[in-house]
Amino acid sequence: MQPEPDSTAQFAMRYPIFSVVVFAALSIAIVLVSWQVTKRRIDANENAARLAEFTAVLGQIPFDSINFNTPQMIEPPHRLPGDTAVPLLTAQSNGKTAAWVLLITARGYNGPVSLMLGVDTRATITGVRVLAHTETTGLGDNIELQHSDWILGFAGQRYIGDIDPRWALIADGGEFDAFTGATITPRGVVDAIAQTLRWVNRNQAILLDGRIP
Amino acid sequence: MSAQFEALWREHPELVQLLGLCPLLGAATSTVNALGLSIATLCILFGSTVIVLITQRLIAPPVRIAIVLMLIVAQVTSCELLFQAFLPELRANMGVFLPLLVVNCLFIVRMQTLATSTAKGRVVIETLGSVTAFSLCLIGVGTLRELLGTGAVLQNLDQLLPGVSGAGLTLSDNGVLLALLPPGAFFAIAVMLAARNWLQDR
Repeated sequence: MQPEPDSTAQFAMRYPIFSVVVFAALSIAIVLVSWQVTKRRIDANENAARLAEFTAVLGQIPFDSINFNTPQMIEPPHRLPGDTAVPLLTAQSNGKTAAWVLLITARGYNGPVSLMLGVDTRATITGVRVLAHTETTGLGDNIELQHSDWILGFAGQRYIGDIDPRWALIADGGEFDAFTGATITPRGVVDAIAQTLRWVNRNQAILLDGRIP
Repeated sequence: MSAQFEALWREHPELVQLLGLCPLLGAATSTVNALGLSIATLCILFGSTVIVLITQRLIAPPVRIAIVLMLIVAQVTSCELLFQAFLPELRANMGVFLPLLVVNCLFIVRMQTLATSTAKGRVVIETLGSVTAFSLCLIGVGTLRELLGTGAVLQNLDQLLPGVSGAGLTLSDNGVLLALLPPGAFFAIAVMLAARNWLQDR
């Protein structure tokens, strides 16, 4: 039997807390239902997006597994860019290490720039993508693939020797282009990638062993 | 129709009352983003209106604002989840402005009016009017900024309608960067405000 609507309404008016409880329950129900409906799809989307990022930075390197839920953390002090721990992921093909993916932080104009860098076992870059940044719209954000092809220029590059003079902007005497209106952002990105490559060069044998330097 | 016209024109939520400017200034950088935010706004307003209409008698006046806010928060959250599930790229573009709809005063004002008013039909029509006005303004600002800022219209339409690709029209490769930056939003809204006032005084 349903309670008479008017008495329920009167009850709500007399005890406002009843009203709050009813609507809190309703709100929770709305969120729960939509969460249940969308949960699996959101998870699938996120995994697909993550896998697409790895595939992009790993370029032509075939891999059958990557430990993207359990990255190895390289704790500071390390000689990688930034002062925080750097996650390192290993892509494997037929049980053998095929490439590494490092999530590094470059110093941009407005703040940190998160980069995802793929390096094969010969320390050659397979690809770089920007994950997050706060650079100026239309200037510094040309590091993003959706705004410019600039970031693609790193694929296939290596760092040769102790000091490789090519790893600087053309304006600084190196070989890398900056884009119009922004110098600090591309300089930060080039420096961070160069530093990471030097680190990989130095620690190649340890990394190939499956250990963390 | 007259009530709707009134909401659209004489009490335009954006251009006269200057309500809910935050998404207008922040998220309307392109037509597609503006359309996405308009759709979200419409869904949230529709859902809240239906719930408030059905349950109006249970909303006790002393806690009305709390209840209205709670309902809006629930709607915004589920709207965000739905966008994440079905339009993930568009969701990423809208960034913080989708969750920020929670504090859009447009909703709170409309729901407050709806919960207290006795002339339901009129309030519903007014609500419809203000969401239309809001959307038109959003899309206007978005299109203007995209056109001036990138020299193209309707870019990334596939983010809203998956499967539609290459629908955008590029008129020029050079845009005025300022239009995409926050000041561009103020200029765009100033142009629309001026146009509205000019039409009003004519």
